[in-house]
Amino acid sequence: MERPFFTAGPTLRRIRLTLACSLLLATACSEERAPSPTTEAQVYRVVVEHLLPSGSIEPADDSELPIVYIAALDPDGIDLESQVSLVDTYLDRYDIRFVDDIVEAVVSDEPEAPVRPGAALIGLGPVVGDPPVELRVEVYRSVDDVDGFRYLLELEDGRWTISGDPEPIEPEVLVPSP
Amino acid sequence: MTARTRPRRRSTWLGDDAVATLLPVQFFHSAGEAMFAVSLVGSLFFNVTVDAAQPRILLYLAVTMAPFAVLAPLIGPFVDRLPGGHRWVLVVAIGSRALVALLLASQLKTLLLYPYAFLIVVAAKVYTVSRNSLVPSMVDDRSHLVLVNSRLARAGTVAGIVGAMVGLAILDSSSAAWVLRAGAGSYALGALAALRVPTTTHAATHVAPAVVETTEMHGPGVLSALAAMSTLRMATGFAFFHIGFSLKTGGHPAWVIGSVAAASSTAAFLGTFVAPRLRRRVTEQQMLTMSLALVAVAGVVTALRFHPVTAAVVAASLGMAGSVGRRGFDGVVQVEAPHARRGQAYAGLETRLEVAWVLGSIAAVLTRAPDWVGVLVLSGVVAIVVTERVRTDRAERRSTRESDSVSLPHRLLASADALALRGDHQQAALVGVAAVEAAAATGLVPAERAADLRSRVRVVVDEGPTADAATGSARELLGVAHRLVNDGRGRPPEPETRPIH
Repeated sequence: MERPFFTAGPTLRRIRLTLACSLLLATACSEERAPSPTTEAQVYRVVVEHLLPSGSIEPADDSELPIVYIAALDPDGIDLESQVSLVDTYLDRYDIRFVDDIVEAVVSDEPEAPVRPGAALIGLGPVVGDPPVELRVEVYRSVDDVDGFRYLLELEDGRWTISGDPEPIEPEVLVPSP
Repeated sequence: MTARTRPRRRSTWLGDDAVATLLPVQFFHSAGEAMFAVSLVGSLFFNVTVDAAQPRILLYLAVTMAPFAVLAPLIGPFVDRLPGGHRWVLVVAIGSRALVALLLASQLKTLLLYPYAFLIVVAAKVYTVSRNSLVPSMVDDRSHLVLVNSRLARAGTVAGIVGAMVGLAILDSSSAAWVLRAGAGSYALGALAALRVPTTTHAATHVAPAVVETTEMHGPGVLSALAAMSTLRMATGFAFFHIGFSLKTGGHPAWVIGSVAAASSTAAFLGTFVAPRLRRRVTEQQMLTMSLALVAVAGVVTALRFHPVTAAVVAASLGMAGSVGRRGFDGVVQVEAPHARRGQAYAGLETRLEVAWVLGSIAAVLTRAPDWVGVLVLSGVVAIVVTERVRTDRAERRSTRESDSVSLPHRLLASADALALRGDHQQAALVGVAAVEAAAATGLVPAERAADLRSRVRVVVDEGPTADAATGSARELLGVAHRLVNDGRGRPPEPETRPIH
């Protein structure tokens, strides 16, 4: 017995499924378009700007940009949107590289494990609180040279600004475990 | 004079005139592929953490596989039915890569990297399936299949090396975006070259019915080779992501990851020379087993001390194994499915191989195992497949030796039973008749009984393969064949019984 032309035969089901998958792919693509900077990204940008003003890192090679390695101080990490936003912000000034492990950013062969030449390594914690917000930051130069700071930031006229001087604190994450 | 000798030289190298038109397509496609890979050095991949990117990579890998698994059964029939359909699939697959590569060039540092990169991967897989499905229908002589595939692979590797060198030169003097734009240009040239692929193939004129092709392609030899090749593809997909992530999180720069990829490509190239020499000494199935064994051994070596050098060893072993295994797989299909020529007969196999690659990739991204653990697990899984293949091979050889002592009618009846178990009742009845005729030829069954059975089977076959009545009659006829062959003189000799003590 012949099947009517428009019943859900295997071919029609496959076509429907294909269309559904295409729609899923199109939706996945459309979600990626021009994400607006997250609060975290905006706060991180202000702090990175404060820590690393222009010209503060000499690139290893004149033809390359200085590298800024960023490690998350929080086990949950930094979300992808914030990472991409920060990479985009500094596209012409720094090669921002977020790392899963600080081993990516240091010269492990040397006993002092210094940061790779032409690079800086900073750790960024989670943004805590409603404005004003608090941010824990650590700056790593070598195993014996790590600083920690607590930043307080306020939102004024839609712009984040650092409130007062950053408070020095004991570094906890970017230090070698005893 | 020159114009006449040129195509002849080209056809001599590839073996066939029609297939020679695929050579520039393969060349530009592979060169574009290498430039795409080089451009990823300047992409977001090296700026963001693997942890953060993991969910997105998983999503797109899943999205890569889903339409593929669904579309595959449609691609083959589409390619075969439309005049020149196979050519348009190639043009669209490579042309879309050119387009997406152009779009991606300005988005290498944005989140659009992920969907665009995976669209390029999907198009690459469509191209691979289409090309591999197309070659058997284009070769003049079916025995050239292994040779043609081998040489196309060799040309692709050479093009990849050329493309990588051009890409690195552009990267050094300009930017990753321009490398990708050059890659898009290469893809575009490939799409233009694909327009020259002939519209008619041998599949359009060959006479073997589709059921014969399907039966051959589902034979135990082909399925066993497919399982082995799928394991190799799965291992390659797993290693691609596992080694890439492990090296990145281990702090190794992009050039180290590139060197490991280059080791794999170089070994794949060498594999195209090793395979024909190996084939002179062992069977195609053994080539596949040896390829898997190579990966298992290299995996253990790498797991003992994970390092860029040992990672390159396992990557090279996968390149070599993929290349040698592919030649073995092609050889098995060439021998065991001599009538298979239609694109749809191959599209299913090729799709399974690509889906296996994606599944391996998903496993690597999902588990994010520590470097040596992942390689050890990979090695263990492959070793299990090797052990199973060796065991099956031994059992088959033992069975072949034993079946030599069984009469031909009984062996044919056993084949008929196997076909009936699989649901091919008409084919089972036909083989059953062959068993009776073999018995009649040696005087074990009266010739008139064999002739009578033959005429009854003809009626059943004329009723068509889907008729329920035909299926019932076919079952009955197989029963008759059994009774005739086993009736008295057709019975095989009783097995020798040994005393317990």
